[in-house]
Order: sequence, then C-alpha cells, then structure tokens
Amino acid sequence: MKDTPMSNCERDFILKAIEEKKRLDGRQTYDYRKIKITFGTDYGCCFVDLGQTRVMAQVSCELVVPKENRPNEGIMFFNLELSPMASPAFEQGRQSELSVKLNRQLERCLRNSKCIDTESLCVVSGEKVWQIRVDVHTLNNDGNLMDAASVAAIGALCHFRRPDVSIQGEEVTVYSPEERDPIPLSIYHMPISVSFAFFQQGTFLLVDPCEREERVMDGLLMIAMNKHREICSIQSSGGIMLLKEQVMRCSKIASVKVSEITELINKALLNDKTARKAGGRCGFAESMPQERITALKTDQTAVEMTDVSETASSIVQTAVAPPQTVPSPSVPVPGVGQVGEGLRNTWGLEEEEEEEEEESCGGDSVEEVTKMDVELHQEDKSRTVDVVEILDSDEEEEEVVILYPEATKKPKNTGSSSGQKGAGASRKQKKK
Amino acid sequence: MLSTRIQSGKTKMSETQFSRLSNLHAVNSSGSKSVCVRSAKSGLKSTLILTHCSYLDRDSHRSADGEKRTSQCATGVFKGRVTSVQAAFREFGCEQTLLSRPDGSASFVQGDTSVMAGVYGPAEVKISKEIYDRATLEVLVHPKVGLPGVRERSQEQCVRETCEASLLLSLHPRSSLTLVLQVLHDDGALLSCCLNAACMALMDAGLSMSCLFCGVTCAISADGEIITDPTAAQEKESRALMTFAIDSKERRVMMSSTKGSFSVHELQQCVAASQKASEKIFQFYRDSVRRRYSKNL
Amino acid sequence: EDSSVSTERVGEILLPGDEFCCGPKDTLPLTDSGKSERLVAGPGLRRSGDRLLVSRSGVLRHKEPNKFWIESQQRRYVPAKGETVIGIVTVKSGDVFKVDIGGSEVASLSYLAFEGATKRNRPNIQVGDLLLAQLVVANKDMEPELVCIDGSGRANGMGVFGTGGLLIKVSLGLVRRLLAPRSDLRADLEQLFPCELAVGMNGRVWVRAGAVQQTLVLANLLQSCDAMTAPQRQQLFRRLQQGAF
Repeated sequence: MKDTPMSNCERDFILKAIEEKKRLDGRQTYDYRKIKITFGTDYGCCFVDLGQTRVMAQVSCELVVPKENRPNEGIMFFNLELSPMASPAFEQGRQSELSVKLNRQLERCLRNSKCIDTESLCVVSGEKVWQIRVDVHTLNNDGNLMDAASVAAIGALCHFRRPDVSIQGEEVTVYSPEERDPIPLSIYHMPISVSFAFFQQGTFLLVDPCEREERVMDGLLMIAMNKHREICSIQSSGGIMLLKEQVMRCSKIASVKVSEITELINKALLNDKTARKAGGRCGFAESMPQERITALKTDQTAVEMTDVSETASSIVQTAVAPPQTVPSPSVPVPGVGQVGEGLRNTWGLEEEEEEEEEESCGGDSVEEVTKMDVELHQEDKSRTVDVVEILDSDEEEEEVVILYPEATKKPKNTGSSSGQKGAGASRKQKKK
Repeated sequence: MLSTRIQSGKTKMSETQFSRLSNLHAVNSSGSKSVCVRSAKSGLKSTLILTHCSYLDRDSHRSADGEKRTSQCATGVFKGRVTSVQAAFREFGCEQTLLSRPDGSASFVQGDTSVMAGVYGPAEVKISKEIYDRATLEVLVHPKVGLPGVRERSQEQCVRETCEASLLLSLHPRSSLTLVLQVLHDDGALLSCCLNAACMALMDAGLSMSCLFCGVTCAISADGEIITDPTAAQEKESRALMTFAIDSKERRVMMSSTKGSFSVHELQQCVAASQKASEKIFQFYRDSVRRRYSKNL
Repeated sequence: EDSSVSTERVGEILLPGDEFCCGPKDTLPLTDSGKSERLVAGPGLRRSGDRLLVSRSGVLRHKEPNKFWIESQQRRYVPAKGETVIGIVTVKSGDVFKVDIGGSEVASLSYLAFEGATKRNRPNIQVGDLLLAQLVVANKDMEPELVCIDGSGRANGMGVFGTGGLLIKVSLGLVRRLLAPRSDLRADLEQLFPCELAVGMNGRVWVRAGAVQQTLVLANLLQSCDAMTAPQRQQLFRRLQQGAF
C-alpha cells in the first residue's frame, strides 16, 4: 500500500511556517509532544505514546550458550518491527531502509552504551547466560519513531524482572515467579535518544518532528544521552552540513529533554510499583480511558446456561451417527495406487455428456487440470512407466503415447489415455 | 461504572449473580474506577449481600444458580458423565478509533488478554495479489515476543476465513483490505479476543458487512467441566480447547478451531454454550456503538 | 414496505446484519391507497430479496419522502460519480495525469479536460499540485476518471490551486457537514476571520487565511471539530475570538 503523496503546497506551507518559527500543532521549536508511559500486566512490557505516535516494547529472557569470545557476558538482542498497522507505507516482511536504520540506532543506543550490566546475566561461565530480547512494536506512526522506541525500550528494561537462578555445584535451578520473586536487571544508566530535524540546509531546527515535518526535512540528527550528560550515541543522516555550534546547541537541548524524560519514566515506574503493591490490576486494560465515548468496559458477567445441555443432547440425538467403518481401499498389486474403480473406460461413451456438463458449468478447467494431475500421480506410482507424460494444460492437442509392459494395467491405461484424449478433446471443444 | 450497573440491574439480575459480582469487586465511593480485589469483603453495605456470601465459593467461578445445577445433574446422571458448564466472562472492554493512521482500529480486552487491531482499506493492491471481482483480504497477527511463526499463520487463517465470510468483498474489486492484529497480552482465549478485536475494527472502518461475528473460547477441563473464556492457567490444564466464531444473525458457527480430544456430546455442548455466550458479546458491541454515536455531532 | 413503520426507527443505531424493514403484513399503511411505496436505500443499506439489510454500523437517517441511509463515521474514501474531490498529481505522462484521490485506485485526468485546453495549449501542471476536479467515471469495476470542467466546458472553480494554503485530512462526516446547505459549522467559521476553504468529498480540506498563524489555527480547529458537538464547538470558537491568537 502506498502512502498519500505530499503535495507541493503542503511542503511550501510547512517550510514557510518553520521560517516564522511556527509548527503545525502549535508547539514551540524545542517542545516535545505529550509523552504518556504505561506498563503492561507482565513485567517488561511498556507502552509509550508520543503525541499520536504509539509504540510498545516487550522484554523477554531465556538461557542460551554465550558467545565464544565473551563467555561470561549475557547477550542483548534488539528487534524493532515496523508493523503495517503503524503506517500504510510499512510492508510486512520486507526489511526497508527505515527499519534497518532504526534497528541499528536502537542497538547502538542501548547495547554499545553498555547501559545494562551484561556480566550479571551470566549463570555458568561459558555454558549458560541469559539472553535478553527486546521487541519493539510500532503501533501508530506519527513521526519520530526513534525517540518513542528508545523510551519504550529503556522503560521496558527497567520494568523487567528476570527469574531467579541458583547454582549448586553443577546444578542450575531456575525458579518460577511463584517460587521466588524475580529480580530486576542491573541498569547503569538510561540512554534516551532525542531527534532534531533540520530544514533549509541546517538553518532551522525542530525537536521531535511529526510525520509531515519528517517528510519535508533535509536531515535528522539523533543524539542519545543519559541524564548524567553523557552522550551515548550521535548520528546524523540526510547529508546536512552542521556547524560545531549547532551540534553543541543541540546537545545542550538534548540534555534538558533527556532529564525531563528520565523523570517521566521514573515517575511511571514508581506509579506502577505502587499499583502492583496495592494489589490492584495493572496493564493495558486499566490504562484504557473510560471517559471517552469510544471506549466501553463491562465487568465479569455470568451467562445463562440453563438449556445448554438440553440443546446439545437434542442435537446429538437427532444427528446421524457417522459410519463406524470406512471401506478399505483395494490394492491390486503392491506398490500400485488406484484412483477410480479400475473399470473399463466409459469416458469415450460419455464424451457428449461431459461436454454438456462443461458448457453448463462454464468450463471448469481447474477440474480438468486436477484430473490430469491425478492421472499423472497414478502413473508415477507405477514404476514401470517408460515414457513419462508431459501434461501441459496449455496445449490444445495432446498426443499421448504410453508404453506399459505389463498387461494388467491395460484397462487402466486405456481408461487413462482415452480419458486424457477425451478430456483433451473436450477441452478442445471448449476452446473453440 | 460498576456502581451504576448494580443499581440498574438490581431488579433484573438474580440475587446470587448480584452478590457474586459485588463479591469480586470493590467499588470506590466515587464509583470512578473499579479495582478488582479478590477477597470476600465487599465494599457495599447491604445485608442482602452478606447473607448470600456464605453460599459463594470465593476462588472458583462456580455459578451458584441452583436450578442450573439440578438440571445439569439430571443430564449428568442421564449421560453418565459429569458435565457442568461454568459460563462466565471475564471483564471485557474495547476502545475504537484509538490510532490515527489506520482507517479503522480497535482494541479488545478480555480479562488480561488484550489485542489491538488496525484496518486499512479499501486501498491499492499489488497486481500479483489482486482478485478481479472482490477485495483481497490480508490478515497479519503479530505476537508479542519473537517473529510470527506457524501458530500465528494458523490464527491468521482462522481470522481471515471468518472475515471473508462476513465482509461484502464484492463491493470493492481489485482493492486490498489489510487487517493487522497485535497481541498486547495473552492470558488465555487469544483467538477469540483476536476475532472480537477484528470485528470491532472492521466496524470502525465502516466496511460493509453482511453480519457481525464474535469469538468464544471453551475449555474442557480434565474432569469434564466446560469453562468459557478460560484464563491461560485454565487452558493449560484443560484436555480440550475450542474456539468458535459465531455470527450475529442466526448464531451459527462460522469457524471452529479445536485442540485436544472430546466427545461429540461435549462438542455440541460447547457450541451451544458459545452460542449463548455470544449474545453477551453482541449486546456489548451494540452498547459500545451506541455509546460512540451518542454525541449528536 | 411501509414508510410509516420505518420512520419510527429513524435515529436508531443499527449494526450490520440488522434488518431494517419489517413485512407489510403487520403494519397499517399510512395512505389507504393500497399501492406499495418505493423506498430509496442509501449508503449502508442493501437489498437482499425483499428485505433491507444494514451493512454498516451507524445512525439511521431519513429524508422526505422516502430516502433512508445509515450515517457512519468513516475516514476512507470510496469514489462515487459526480463528487468533487481534491486530488494530488502523482504522475504526468503524455496525455494523461495520474491523480491520487485517496481511494483504492489512482484516478486519471486527461490534459484536455481543462477549460481552454487544446493540444497546443496544455495546462501548466506539475507533479505534486493540488487539483479540484469532478469524478465522471467512478464505479467499483473501473479506474476512476476526473475532469476539471463541467458539462458546459467551463472550469467553475475547478482546476489547479493551492499556493499559500494548507491541506488537511479530515473524516468524511466533517466534510459532509461542511458542505451541507445550511451548515452551522460554516456559519461559525465565517464569523472567525476571513479565510478561503476548498472542500473535497474525499476528506481533504484546503484552508488559507491572511496569515500563517491564522491558517494554522483554522486547520487545527477543523481537525478538532470532527469530534465536537455544536455547543462545544461554539464554546471553542468563542474562546478563540476572545483570546488573541
């Protein structure tokens, strides 16, 4: 599916508005859209709404063999999926450029910055380590997927709890959540990416571009930073030439934004923790806003089931019982399959009827092809065929010559060959 | 919201149902948000509830309808096996039009299981996939963890068959309808939650349908009990699991997907139970659409 | 089919699969003439044998004397003949422009379908331009075709436009409300500040006001009006008029 093309007047208008320091939704140049962070029912699930952009991240873990050159470090695996739900331009399966770029940026932001202590994920050095897998699903694309994905990923990692493990000599016991409380990952710092969009060859910049702004931008600068003002990753794409002062200014803006967002994540984590302690339900279901008219919720309901058993019994009693035995197929010679009853060919006599049938039902050439295929399989099963027929259903005429040394197969052969001829003939008639 | 339901339903619901509901939920005095607290204490001060508390089993969802039990015992004795139908739905909720890009979107929640659906269509179709006289429906199910595998493909096929049977595809030849389902949390009855979310999203997109459909899951436990809308724990311990797609006009079965072994009688009981249960879901669809159009724009 | 019974259900919210008309046997005819009345079934209703089935969810509406339809909130456009739409030119090839109108297929527009266009005098249209055009061929089996002239060969407001304004996408319901004959929404908008509006039935609206800021305000207003009732909207407009923008 293709996305709607951008018209020239939209492009011109957006650029003109940016020159006047005005944005489409009334934000200031350095403003983020409203960020909403919620967590799911199980540990490690995080939903992030950045304006209309929505993403979901889920963290899971499993025990695997570690990499050979790093035997006592755990493995982190990131997967950002551009779902076709998020935008009509995203297609299922194909790794588009944007998908590769976002995945790479997410990996650099989170793995190369060593925000997670991978050595604590080691269980048995050289044999078993935890592999932490982060899946980020994009639900709605309204621009700036990268920032939303990074917030969701780090939020999910902070929220995640892995099963507790104990080692006794050679034995490794993994405890389920009911036996022992799962333990959180050890996270050193929280890198968060901030995106800057540049317009007019670097003259104007905007923070957190929305989808339409992304389409007209010249280039994008992504700075991943943590709240201790350490830059974890910097990436500039689009080929814009940036001056040193611009990059310094961007990093200052980024540090302010990162501290705000980190504050938001911590607050959301705290809310979730208190909600779970209080024993309340949490998760996507609870985060659904109830006051909107587009949302509705009901409570646990019982269903009237008084006459379920009676209807079921009556249906069973009135239904015809299936046959207890199935007629077994007869096999004339071992190694030979058979279709039909092996009687004398009656197709030649019924040719006219078959033509009428064909005309009446509009010429079902599919059936013919399957008949042909069936015959082909039948022939294949008999190993003594010397000439393999090539059944090309596109050919108008078919001269089929079959050589069978065994006499027992003759009735079948005549049946099949004349059948084919018959079918071929009838098809010829149809094509006329 | 719970408080208004109880007040309006006081005369209609049987007392045992009423007390069971209030037993499982505690309501704030403001009634704004209901928090589910699984304890025998109820927040409402009413002698009616307290007298019935003792009859209720706190943990199981066993229905306390006396008449039902006797009739089932009667059939149980007749057939020689213990069958009772535990028919209760977990909380369910939905939200429509929650995503700005898709033409139609909905999220459906059943207890803890939640699925989000997005629909695009009728839109451009690739030449290789176009069908000359009807729309090409593509269903995608994305699991929460990992890449889609064989299980997701079979779920996609089930959903697609149901949708193709109820949508009027011949109104949009040579165009594509894409339905994407994202699993947000799986706590049992996933396929029926997918079906319900798909139906609401198709309605939200305004696609022409000949009828609505809903999904109901039944699990047969090891001792022959039929549970509708099972949780993941109940599913794991069941000996058979069935999902049916029921249509809204004549309550017929449009699609069935079963796992495990069961007898013919049990199958018919599950079908009948699903048909009964589907009425609740269709009423819920109606209520949510009514609420949606309640504003006079 | 008796219209007296049907009008009782007007304003009711119906779901796909509901039956709309009941049989004539249990109703009293409004007029005693005894002849059957014709019912015009609009969008959302379809005929199946001698019954009318609802195929979309929405509110049942009625227009005298016998038109019934289902009003639903929809975003995707399905081309219909005779509607005026805003299209974006995607391909300019030889004699024909390919124009995106938001439907399932790209529409075609001949270069001769403009006022005063001849083989020598081609219209000056670039890829990415906005066009206001009318659909002359639009059914489910054929590629849609547009023209920028009306029956008598005059442009009548159609053609290329769009410099200085902003194009926004709204729901089809809002567009219908804007184009209704006595539209409250339009009346309220007129009182705000002078502006130009071009409305396409495919859910696209082009706005232009005196200043960039005003255009932005107008665009955001229209998008939020989509989900507001009349009193809420009037309140918002009043707040705007009082506050400085």
